[in-house]
Amino acid sequence: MSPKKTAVLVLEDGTKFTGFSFGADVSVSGEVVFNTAMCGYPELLSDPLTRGQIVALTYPLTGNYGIPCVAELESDRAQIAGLVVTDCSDEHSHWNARRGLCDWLREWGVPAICGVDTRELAKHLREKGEMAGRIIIDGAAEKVAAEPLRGLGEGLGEGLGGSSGGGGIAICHIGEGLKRSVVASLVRRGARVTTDFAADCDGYLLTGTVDEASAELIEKVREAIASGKPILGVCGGDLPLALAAGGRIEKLAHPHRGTNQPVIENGTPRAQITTQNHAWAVVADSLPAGWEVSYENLNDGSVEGIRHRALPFGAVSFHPEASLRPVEAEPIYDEFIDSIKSRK
Amino acid sequence: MTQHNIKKVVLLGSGALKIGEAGEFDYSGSQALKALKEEGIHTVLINPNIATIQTSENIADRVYFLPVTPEYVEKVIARERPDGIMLAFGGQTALNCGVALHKSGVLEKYGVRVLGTPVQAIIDTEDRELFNRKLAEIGVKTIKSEAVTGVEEAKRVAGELGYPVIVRAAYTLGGLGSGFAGNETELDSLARKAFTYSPQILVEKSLKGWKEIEYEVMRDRHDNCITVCNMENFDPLGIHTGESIVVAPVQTLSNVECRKLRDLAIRIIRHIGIVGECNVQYALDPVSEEYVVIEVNARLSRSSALASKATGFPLAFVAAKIGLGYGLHELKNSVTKVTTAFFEPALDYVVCKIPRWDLGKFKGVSRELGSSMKSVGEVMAIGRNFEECIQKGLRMIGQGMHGFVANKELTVDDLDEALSHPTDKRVFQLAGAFKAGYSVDRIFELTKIDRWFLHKLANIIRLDGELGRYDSLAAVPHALLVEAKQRGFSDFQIAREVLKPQSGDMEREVAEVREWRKERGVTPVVKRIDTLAGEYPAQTNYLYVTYNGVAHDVDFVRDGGSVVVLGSGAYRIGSSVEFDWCSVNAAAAIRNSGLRSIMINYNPETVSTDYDMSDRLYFDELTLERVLDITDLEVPRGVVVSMGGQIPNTLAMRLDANGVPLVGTSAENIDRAEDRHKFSSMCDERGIDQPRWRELTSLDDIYKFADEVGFPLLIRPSYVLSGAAMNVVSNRGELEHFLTLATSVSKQHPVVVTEYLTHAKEIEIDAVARDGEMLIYAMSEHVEFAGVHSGDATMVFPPQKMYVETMRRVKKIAREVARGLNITGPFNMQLMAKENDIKVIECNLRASRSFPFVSKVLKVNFIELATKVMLGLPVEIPHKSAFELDYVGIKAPQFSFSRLQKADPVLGVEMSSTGEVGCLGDDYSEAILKSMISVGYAIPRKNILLSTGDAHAKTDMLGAARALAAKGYNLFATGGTADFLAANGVEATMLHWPDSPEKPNTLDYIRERKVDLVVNIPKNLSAAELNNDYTIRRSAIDFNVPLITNSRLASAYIHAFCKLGPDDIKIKAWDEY
Repeated sequence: MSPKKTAVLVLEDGTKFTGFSFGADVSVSGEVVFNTAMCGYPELLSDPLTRGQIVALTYPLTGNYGIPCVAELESDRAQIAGLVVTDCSDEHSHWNARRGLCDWLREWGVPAICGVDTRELAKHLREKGEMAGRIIIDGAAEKVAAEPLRGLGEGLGEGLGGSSGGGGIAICHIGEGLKRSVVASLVRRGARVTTDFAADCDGYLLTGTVDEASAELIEKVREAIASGKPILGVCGGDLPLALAAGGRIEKLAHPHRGTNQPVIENGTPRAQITTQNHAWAVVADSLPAGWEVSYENLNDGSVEGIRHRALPFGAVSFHPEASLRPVEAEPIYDEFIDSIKSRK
Repeated sequence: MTQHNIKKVVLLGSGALKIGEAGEFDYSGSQALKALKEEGIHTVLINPNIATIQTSENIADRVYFLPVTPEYVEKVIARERPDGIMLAFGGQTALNCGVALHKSGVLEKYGVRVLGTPVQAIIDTEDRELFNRKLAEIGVKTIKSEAVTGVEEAKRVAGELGYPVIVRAAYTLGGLGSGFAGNETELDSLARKAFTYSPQILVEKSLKGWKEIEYEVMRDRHDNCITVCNMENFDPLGIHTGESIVVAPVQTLSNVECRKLRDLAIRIIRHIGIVGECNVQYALDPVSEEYVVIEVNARLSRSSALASKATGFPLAFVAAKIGLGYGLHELKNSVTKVTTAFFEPALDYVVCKIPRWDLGKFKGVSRELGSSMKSVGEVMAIGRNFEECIQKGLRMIGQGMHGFVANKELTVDDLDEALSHPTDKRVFQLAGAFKAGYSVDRIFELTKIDRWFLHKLANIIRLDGELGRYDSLAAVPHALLVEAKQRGFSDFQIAREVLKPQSGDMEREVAEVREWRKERGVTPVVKRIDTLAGEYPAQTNYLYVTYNGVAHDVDFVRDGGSVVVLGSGAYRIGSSVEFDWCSVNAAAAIRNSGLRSIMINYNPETVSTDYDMSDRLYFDELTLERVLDITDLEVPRGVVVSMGGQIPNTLAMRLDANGVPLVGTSAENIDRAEDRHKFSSMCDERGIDQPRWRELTSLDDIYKFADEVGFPLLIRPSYVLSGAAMNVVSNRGELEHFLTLATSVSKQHPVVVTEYLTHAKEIEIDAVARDGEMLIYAMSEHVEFAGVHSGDATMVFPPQKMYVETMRRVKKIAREVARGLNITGPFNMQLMAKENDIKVIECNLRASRSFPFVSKVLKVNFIELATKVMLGLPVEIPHKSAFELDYVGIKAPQFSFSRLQKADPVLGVEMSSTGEVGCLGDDYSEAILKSMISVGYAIPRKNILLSTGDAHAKTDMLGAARALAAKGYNLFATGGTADFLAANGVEATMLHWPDSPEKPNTLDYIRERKVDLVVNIPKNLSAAELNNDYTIRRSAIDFNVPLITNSRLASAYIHAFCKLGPDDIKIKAWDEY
């Protein structure tokens, strides 16, 4: 084992966490967020929505099963700006692993710190709010982190960027951070996904924001609404939809970042556990006439989804797909495809 | 919210603790009762296990100390007329009983609704064929197998599936009657045995080497589902999950795999229709996405108790609420009290469950681990990396190990064999293999333990080697010291590797490490288990200690208002749920006195580790190092060492030496009781008689002493619990043979040789004293003569067959001892009485295993009283005398010999029972009968086999044999016994000994289950038992024929069932006595 190099995470408010470097030998700045998922680090760290973020994992053991082949990741690369963990396995073990976490991070130039009390860090961010921070690797130059996603369809892997899937239903994607599992969920249902807004399509897929969405994006969503074609928003897609419809969004007191977020379908006793990664939510009272809250978070009562009462427009904050493999019925996607089919 | 108007509910407990069904069901039952009470429902509990929390006051509204069998439960139902019944909280015992009551129409007859999972769903999960069919309906894969009802059919199926196969008996707990068969011969014997437990067995293809994964799942009536926890077995398939180290959450599965198994679990629970909690076990191919479902337990289980403790999510509590009709989303997370119970806990630590075996206590037992369970308890360790976690856990199991490394070397003849055929020592053999230069790959090939775990263990070996390179603490780099602590090294391990002391107990060296690191700021932090990894604020008091952190999650008040209670650690033979009862009651008394209770314990099967039970729970080690870490931070008013059995008791002196205040009897006086010499001189001074004994260091001295007092002699090392390495020898040959074994136990400790009385009555006294004055006491007598370990004896309270004179003298002796040792708090003494002599055998200045029994029979909580006394608070002494009770309490032991293949089911000075029951009766016979039925004896129908040992025992048994004959039983007897009976005018059919080719043969009668009870009295207490006797006893166990091996107990039981019929047993609740 090579000698350990000291690394420090310095938060905007001056708080420091010291550990050891195990990723790329560069320093970096970014927004520091925590995530409570206990499994799924390859998917999380390759999720375009994490671009520009320094992600701290509260689950202390990371790297156990290495990194699988690219097709099993949410995009073709490590998207995060930096990684902060308590303990990283030097040796991974899994039949499906192609490489170790540490190698993979180095390849994509992502610095990482282990030996950090990420629970303490999470508590700090919980109390003080998520904030900017820097990972400073002993003696390493600072690199400019990638900007958080803004553009359309950015960060998509080969085969996902333009149009993907050969199905008879054409879906146009609007928004940021489209990931492989979302596309796969639609392709499995006979759709193809395009990011060409000008192209003819049967419905719109809307994915989330990391911040207040851009005016350009909102404009596009308005156009989509005006077209009357079905709209499905996932992974925070409710935010641009609400803004486009004339509603407001607000920053959550406690961001939702993990795989154990409980949501309930409004007006029913049906609840489900969802994967989430967002810090903003729609303000329920701000929804204009004709719109309603479709899902609510059982923990803090925040809005997790909205829909139009009459028209086929709906969106959720959470990620209805949990894995690259088909799992338990994903009714949200089924309903979306059904509503498209019923119009065809 | 709730769907029906339920006012009264019967809850079934699990009875005595046994292998496969232990303390976890006290925890789940107590939780369920708490949930029902909150709803204002009148609860009726049926459970003969008197040492449990659930059978204590104010938990259930009514308690019946009766057998959990369809017959008795029906009688209780007929009397209580409940609206509902809960079957999921008392293990397999309750589940089986519930299914039987459903099938016989009893539940319908009395209009009792099964709350929670419907009975049909239970049947669907219990019957293998139905289960496989049910899962096939939704395309879920199960193990290729076939259910068969005959041995020949089993062979045919095995031939088709291909060996090796696994045999499982349906409707049994903990894999009873299950095992692997590599060929037809093995299958033949296995199948025969399995059919004695179950009318149906399952022959399935073995998947040895696959990963074993478990999911704990909940579902409400709205079809809302959550998976609360997933767990991974460190040991691959082939080793029963109760025998395996289990890690939560899973470590070596990818997200895709976790998601798939979660998804399957939810589909399964929905399809089967569970309402409440269930556990799904999977086998997962280590090199592909192939899986199969092994089984589903439609009830709370050992795993669910572990999952509750691992996550902080109270599965049993929530399951009970769901059973009443609540939706998961309507319930609150009881940790945060703000967020919902409909969520899946996120852990920011890792836990490791390690089984505790006591196989050393059994003569002849097979030590190999396999598909049936042998462990008697377990521990759960919490850490923030795997190395820290497993090293903590290996210390917790309390078998003299200090972690993964720095232990006494184990000698192994063939390491490869030891690795590929695991025993209870397997994990330490892994350390040996690494030390012997085995690579991770080589060990993987031999064990199929995932390489990830092996790499982590290799990391411990690496650190160990690095530490060993230095010879002084000053030379060890600071970073290495910190890393060692972060990877779970104790001060002891560091002392041993760095300071390399040659001998001694290392106390000085360990203290040196502690001082050294404290001076350098290397101290642990206290973290909170909050179910959601810090995402939301939580105020729980559920804590653990780790070196992998920079800040404490809690503040320390240090106002002198807190009192620490040290719990009892892993359940093992000799220390079980009774000490948990004591610990919990002590914590409650502390709380009720306006002080704050701080519990330290690490046993996931207990109620004391329920974070609701104390103001702070440290789920952590009970080592001196960890207790000092905690007292350094908390600065409590005092520490209670007298409630958790021997573990806290042995810490007393060292805690005191480290300046930690103890409450109750002083450390000095505890030492005066523990140290035989000091205790003896105290007895001599006060004229208290003891059996003659000598602490001797040479063989010559021992022979000289033997000549002086004569045989038999009791030989033992000092400072032990439950007679580890204790033995009775009846001649010089045995003495010589045993001494070599006993001295190998501990060279530092000399051998204690004690005069041994035969045919002496054994008496116990449990008492509480204040400043040397005995305030209250309870005296009990054993049914068996002295020589049967007090934990295996049948206890009668109040005594029924004791002279008033004896009682008066015992009481006087107890007063003298309390005075002599200036006792403040609980104490227990064992004495024996023969003719005019009364001798003290043992004295413990702590609560004993019989405290809950006598407290509940007498209805005076001795522990509450003792705790108040220790805290210096005024107490009211109940003016109640044991003699005034107009009922009798009997505590009977539960054995688990059927689990312990090849072990000789005979009683001796070594304790071998795994649990106990306590029943009340209007007279001695009724109480005996209830308690015997509660531990699994059925009143014989017609045939009884007697093989009654030596002349003395034969005479003892004559009266019982006459009673049986008079009652119309058919008696069968082995040669000598038959002759003796004939000579005394009792007719018995002679059966030939097992080794005889002649018919009729005892063995055939047992195998064909033509006898309903076997009484086999060993001829002496030594190791030299006749093979024939062993074969009779072992066959009785293997073929599930009730067996009694003690003539006094056999007589008592026989007289009881000859005198009373089943209808004479009264259905009376505890409060009606």
